[in-house]
Amino acid sequence: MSLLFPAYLFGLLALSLPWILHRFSDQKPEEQLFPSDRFLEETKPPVSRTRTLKYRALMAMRMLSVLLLCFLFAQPWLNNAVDGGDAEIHHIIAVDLSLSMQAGDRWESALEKGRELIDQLGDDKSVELVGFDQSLVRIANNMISKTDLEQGLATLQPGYVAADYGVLMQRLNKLASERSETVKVWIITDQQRSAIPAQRNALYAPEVAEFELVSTVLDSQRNVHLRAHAQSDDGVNIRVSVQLTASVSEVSQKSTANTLKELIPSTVTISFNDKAIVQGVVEIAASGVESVVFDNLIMPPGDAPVLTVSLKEIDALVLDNSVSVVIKQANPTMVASLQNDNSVSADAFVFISTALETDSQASVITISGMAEQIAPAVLHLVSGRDLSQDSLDLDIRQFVDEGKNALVFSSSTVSATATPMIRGADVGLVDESHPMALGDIEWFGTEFYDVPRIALKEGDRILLETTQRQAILVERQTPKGIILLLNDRLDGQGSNLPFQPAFVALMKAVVDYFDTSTALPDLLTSGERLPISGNVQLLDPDNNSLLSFDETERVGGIALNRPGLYTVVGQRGSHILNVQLDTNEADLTLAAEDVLNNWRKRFDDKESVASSDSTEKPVSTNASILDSQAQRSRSRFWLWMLPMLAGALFVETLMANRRLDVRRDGS
Amino acid sequence: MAAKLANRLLKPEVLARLGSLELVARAVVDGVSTGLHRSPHFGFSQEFEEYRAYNEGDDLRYVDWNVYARTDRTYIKRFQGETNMSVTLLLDTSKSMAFGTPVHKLDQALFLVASLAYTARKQHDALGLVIFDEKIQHYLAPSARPDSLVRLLGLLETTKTGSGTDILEALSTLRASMSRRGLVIVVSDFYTNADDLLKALQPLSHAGQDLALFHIVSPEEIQPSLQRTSALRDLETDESVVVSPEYLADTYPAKFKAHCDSIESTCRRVGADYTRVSTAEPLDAALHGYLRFRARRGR
Repeated sequence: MSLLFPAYLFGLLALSLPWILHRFSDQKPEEQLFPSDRFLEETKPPVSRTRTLKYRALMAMRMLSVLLLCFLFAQPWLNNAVDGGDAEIHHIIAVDLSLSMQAGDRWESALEKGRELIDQLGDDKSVELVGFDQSLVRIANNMISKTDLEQGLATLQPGYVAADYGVLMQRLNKLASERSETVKVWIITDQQRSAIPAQRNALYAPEVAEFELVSTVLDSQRNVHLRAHAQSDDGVNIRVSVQLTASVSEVSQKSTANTLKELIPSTVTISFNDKAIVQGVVEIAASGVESVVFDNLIMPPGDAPVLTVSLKEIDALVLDNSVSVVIKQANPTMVASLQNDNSVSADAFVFISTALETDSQASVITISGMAEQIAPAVLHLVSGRDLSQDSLDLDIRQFVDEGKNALVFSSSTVSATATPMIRGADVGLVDESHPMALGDIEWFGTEFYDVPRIALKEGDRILLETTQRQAILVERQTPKGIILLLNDRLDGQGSNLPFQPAFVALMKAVVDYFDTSTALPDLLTSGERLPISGNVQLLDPDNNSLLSFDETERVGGIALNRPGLYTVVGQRGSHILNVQLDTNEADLTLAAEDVLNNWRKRFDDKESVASSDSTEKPVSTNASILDSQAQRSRSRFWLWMLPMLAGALFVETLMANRRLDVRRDGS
Repeated sequence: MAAKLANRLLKPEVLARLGSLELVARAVVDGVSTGLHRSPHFGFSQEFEEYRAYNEGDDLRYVDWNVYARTDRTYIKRFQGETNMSVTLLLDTSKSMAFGTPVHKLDQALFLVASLAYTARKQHDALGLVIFDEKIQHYLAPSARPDSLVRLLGLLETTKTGSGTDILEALSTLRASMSRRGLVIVVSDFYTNADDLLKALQPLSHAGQDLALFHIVSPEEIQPSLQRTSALRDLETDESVVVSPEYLADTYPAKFKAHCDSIESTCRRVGADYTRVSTAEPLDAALHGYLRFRARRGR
């Protein structure tokens, strides 16, 4: 018998709980005060046999329930050898298509192993060929001939995405569950450490009867992975940060060449239009990480110049030795300031423009008119409106419905009844959980003397209010964009907010919040999904259209596997997106032997593990295909425990419901 | 009608609602037909008893100078003392007194002590009070001053239960400090050994003290009414004993009755008056019994 999740057996410690509970409730009769124990004697009333029996049965039932519960979680199963012919085994050959398979001669080795397997299994076997990385692709099944299987194998190519053995095993489990025959899985892979899932239980597929790992790593290899990004704060000087990550795949301690473990100089070159701008040499250890920064490089000509950062030395994985980098320029966010309401103080626009443009975080464009007149490229507006009305003006609502954002402050006049106050209300409640992180702003000294009336709607989220519970900053729920309502006239009379440093910090938080909601990412890792709002076109690194305008509206996003520079073209102009290879996948370190052994042990007994040790004897695994005639069908008898548990709980409930009488004293 | 009203007021649960012990005492004593007792001692009342020849050391203030003028002999004038007897009340405030229904034994004891003090004060007796648990907590020396009752009642008002009981220690200490004869009244639940109590009472009796013991009991400790096995925790020692309802119904009442009988027997041996006072019964019965006892003594 084996256990699928043996760790749950620790739950057996809870077996003592019923006993402890019974002991506690058993020995604690009701306590009462009495003037003196001079005339009292300890008495133990007789306990009837039936009651003792009930007491013990109840405790046993409770312990049994805990026991069954633990085993249910642990999921025990039996391997029963079943006699039968090969025809009852369905073989699935899974070939690793992850990026690391492109290292050295791993892919050639994988193809060779695959062909050998197909040859060994022959035409009379039920064989299926699948490829996997983060997903599983079915290539060919047993309905076609051996030749077709080999052709299917030849069509496979390793990609750019990382592999995940956990996902693989769960997909294989699903495939196996669809088969009536016993399923044996052959995984041709490089046994990479990064592919082992954090949750090891995901490695087990109960529907898979047998499992073999076929390694494609024949010798030790070294790889240096390169990742870079470039930024220009002033549009003239460039700062390029390069991170180098080295890794070594050691087939065995003995065979690993000492040279692989030494510090090896790596030459990093930054070039533009195939002309080297700068070079640097970095010494990096076998499994080390080094960073190098090239500062004060001169910005090359062009609208969006692309630099190439490359390594001179050749290593196991060539693909990650060169990356294209777009220079990210710190462009201020464009904000439209709508001035169409005469009741708004002119000072308010001065205050708000000054705060927005502090540190060049935003560039304010003043527009005298309605929101319709704002250029499509401008995604945010500020405007003063009457917030005491039940709904905002139509032009603001339409602007936000396009996925854009608006900050609306109050335009109401000073109330006639307002009396001059020497001391205003301080900031009281601040919504710390909101992404704007308003709690980080120093509100001390900010006072509100005359807070205008604001009409709040259901679903409005108050982000800031005074100590007198007057709402100052409110986020209104909208289907697409963001509306922030700032309930202050910003004229310096209703409050001293515009004069406080907190106002600049608040405007920065608003701009950051707006930007986060609309900005596209600059950098993605291969395999990551790019969310796309619609009405944009996505071009791949070769400038071919990946998604048309119509498709982006329909699919909502796309996973980008191939590294390179993608272009998102939309109403707001074009945006270049850099997809770089996964650093973890480029780490060629092999999984620890004990991890692999534990994985195998979940499927096979010791003998099988020894025969399938593909690391030590990679070729002999083929022989085991024919030698192994044992077929296993797994009796998941833990499923029977479910009715047993239900029965035990039912009986326990019956007994306990009569009277939860765990006391043995018979009283 | 007046008698009925008095009886109603005398119920312990009704007394417990009264604001002060003075009110309690008045309600109790005024509801009881009082019978004045006579003091065996001589004092300052107006009822003449006899003349006695002057002896050296007698107070010159008591010499009858008219008789001296007529007879040329000095005589001391003596009066029958209806007042000015010393009454010392001993109140047990051990933790075991914090038990009982409908009022705690301590409450009933406080009502009783206050009532006895009020009665004594009406007869102009000197009042003393000893409050004790394991040791003497408060001691008011017997005093005939007009405010003695007020002081005594004030002390009683603030009395709470203490810790354990050592009635023997209290009686021994009292005996050592008492110089004149009088009445000693002990109010307690008497969780003590009868033989030890005898040893403590005998010296007082031999010293000429009149002794009256009020044994405060609760119906729940005479006949406990527990329905299931329970752990009974001793209020004084904090130790628990698990007992069955059968034991409490059969064996315990007999043991407790034997204890009460032994206390009563001890009282008889030293000539002390023994009155059992239940927390569920009005105090007038106890006071009537006490006054009858005083009448029998002719004092």
